[in-house]
Amino acid sequence: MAGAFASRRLQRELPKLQATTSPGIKLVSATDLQEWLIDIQVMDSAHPLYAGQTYRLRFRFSGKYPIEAPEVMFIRATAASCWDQKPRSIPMHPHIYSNGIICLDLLDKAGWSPVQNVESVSMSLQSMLAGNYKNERPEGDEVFVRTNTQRPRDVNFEFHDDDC
Amino acid sequence: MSSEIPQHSPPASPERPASPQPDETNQSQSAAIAHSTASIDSETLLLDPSTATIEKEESPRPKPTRKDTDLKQCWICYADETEDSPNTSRWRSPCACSLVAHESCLLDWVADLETPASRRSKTTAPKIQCPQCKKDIKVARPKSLVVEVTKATERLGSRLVIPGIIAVLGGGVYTGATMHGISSVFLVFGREDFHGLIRDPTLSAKWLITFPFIPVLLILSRTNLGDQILPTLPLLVYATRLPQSWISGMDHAQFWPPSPELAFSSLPFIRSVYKRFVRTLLAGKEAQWEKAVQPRAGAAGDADAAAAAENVLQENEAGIDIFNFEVEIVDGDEANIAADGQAAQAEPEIPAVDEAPGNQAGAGAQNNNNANQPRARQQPRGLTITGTYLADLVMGALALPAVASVMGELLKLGLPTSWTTPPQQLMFKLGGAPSFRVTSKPGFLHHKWARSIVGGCLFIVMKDTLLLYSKYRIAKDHQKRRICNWDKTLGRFVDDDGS
Repeated sequence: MAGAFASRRLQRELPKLQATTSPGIKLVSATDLQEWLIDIQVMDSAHPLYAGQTYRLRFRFSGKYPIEAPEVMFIRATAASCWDQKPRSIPMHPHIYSNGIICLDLLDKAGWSPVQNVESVSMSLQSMLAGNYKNERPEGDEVFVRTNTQRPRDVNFEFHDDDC
Repeated sequence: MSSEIPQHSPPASPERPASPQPDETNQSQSAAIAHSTASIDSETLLLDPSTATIEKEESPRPKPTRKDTDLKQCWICYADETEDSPNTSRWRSPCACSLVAHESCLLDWVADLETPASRRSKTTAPKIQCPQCKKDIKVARPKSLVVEVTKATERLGSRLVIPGIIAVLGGGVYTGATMHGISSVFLVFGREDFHGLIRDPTLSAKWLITFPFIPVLLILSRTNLGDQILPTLPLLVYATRLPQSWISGMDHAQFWPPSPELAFSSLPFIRSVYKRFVRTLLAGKEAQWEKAVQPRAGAAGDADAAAAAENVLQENEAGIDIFNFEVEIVDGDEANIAADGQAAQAEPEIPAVDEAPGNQAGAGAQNNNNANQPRARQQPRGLTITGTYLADLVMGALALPAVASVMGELLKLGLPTSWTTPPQQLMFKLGGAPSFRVTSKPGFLHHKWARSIVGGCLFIVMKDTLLLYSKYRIAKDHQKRRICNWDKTLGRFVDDDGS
């Protein structure tokens, strides 16, 4: 349940996001102020991994947003449920687990700052994809996906230079 | 288009790099340079030319109030001045940059930063910085000495966890070593002298330091390291000479019977002399015996074995292995021994005998291999130590005082009573042993500690003799081994010696 504080801030973010001209970022659904879906695309039409692909991000906000980071992960979706009739998958990336959990410091409680917002997070993820040419999952992906029962925000990622 | 241009790039925290790989970003920058530009933070790629142009015109951190510059907007709750009500918190601009916020929003944020659960490092105070200009944000609050001290203590406590664990473990080892030292002294000296020793007030402080060294010395004395260290110790003992009151009837100036200090401090020398004596006596025979039971067919991994042996040899030279000398001798005898072995191995049962005339090279290689093997087997004596060997060494060393004590008691039982019981009592009980009658001083073996020393030494000599004899027997009987035939008609094994 988003608190009044979070609701107020999200209400102010929403119209801007709906009217956004940021290329490759599209608000799919924001039926309430707790969970939003955003579609992102890498705008590089020659990108070997992500060209022509659309990926779906799910934002979940706690009552303490924006003091507390939103929970952001990639989710799968069937073609039928999408506006462009294309299915959504989890992008291959050395910092994205195959269950959609993202290891990115700005989404972590220590890296988060209230200056961030839904659009800026989406753009960061967009550029995180654009900058990646490795067709791989994080180390230990299988084990993590099988054993992780925590919500993304509770996972304690170790941020190394190049790895989670 | 709103007035908001979002922050694109996460502020890279100073203590750890942001997680998108910088190197990859750099590659992609060069690859995509034609139609993109990197933001100042260099981790964000703006892949659309139009955005890029806009981005270029702006400062790296867009100002929330860029368009309506006169209108303040809180960077936390995004409400602007127009929404202010009498209840709204005050506006604050805590740093030089353009970010302004409600005081209540800032305080909420600061509170979150200071919550232990939301911090990664519990040992340092949280950094409250403007997310845009990275300047420290100053929070004025009533000072409370108690709170400050408590916080500082908490931080100190979490910083001291590992040193604390080390200290606890070290203390445990120290206490254990001290207890072992005390019980060793008790066992070796016996109840009476032990009590005399610990009651001596001048000793107590010194012994607190000395006791824990007893097990250390015991362990050292079983290693070759001890050869170099131990003989220096008697000097130390004499430098910190014991007072003479604690054992009655001992004249410390006399040579025989020796005082406990003299006896114990001569042990390192006795040990050295004994080791040297054994070495001279055996002159490499032990290594020969060990080698004699090696399998003869080991030529397969010659290159490896030779390389390994080379390593071991170097290690030994760098280290402290006394056996190098012996191994050299063995090398010289090698050809003879191998020849003897082959001659003796005419019997078909013994595996892998190289009797074929074309196998000279093979036999030579075998010789090398065999010559090298004793070295490899001596590895535990060098610096590389296996776990079992270590455990064996430590346990044996720590058990020595108890063994010595028991051996001392056995000596008391085994030797004539006159040797082991002070003469004062003798005069009443026995008529014999005139030598003890005349002297008023107690003899060497009259002391429990002396019997312990002799007993311990006896034990070591017996143990070594037994081990060496076993090796000798095994080596000697090695050639006489036979494989028993299974007699199908009888339905049992037959020890057929080939005749």
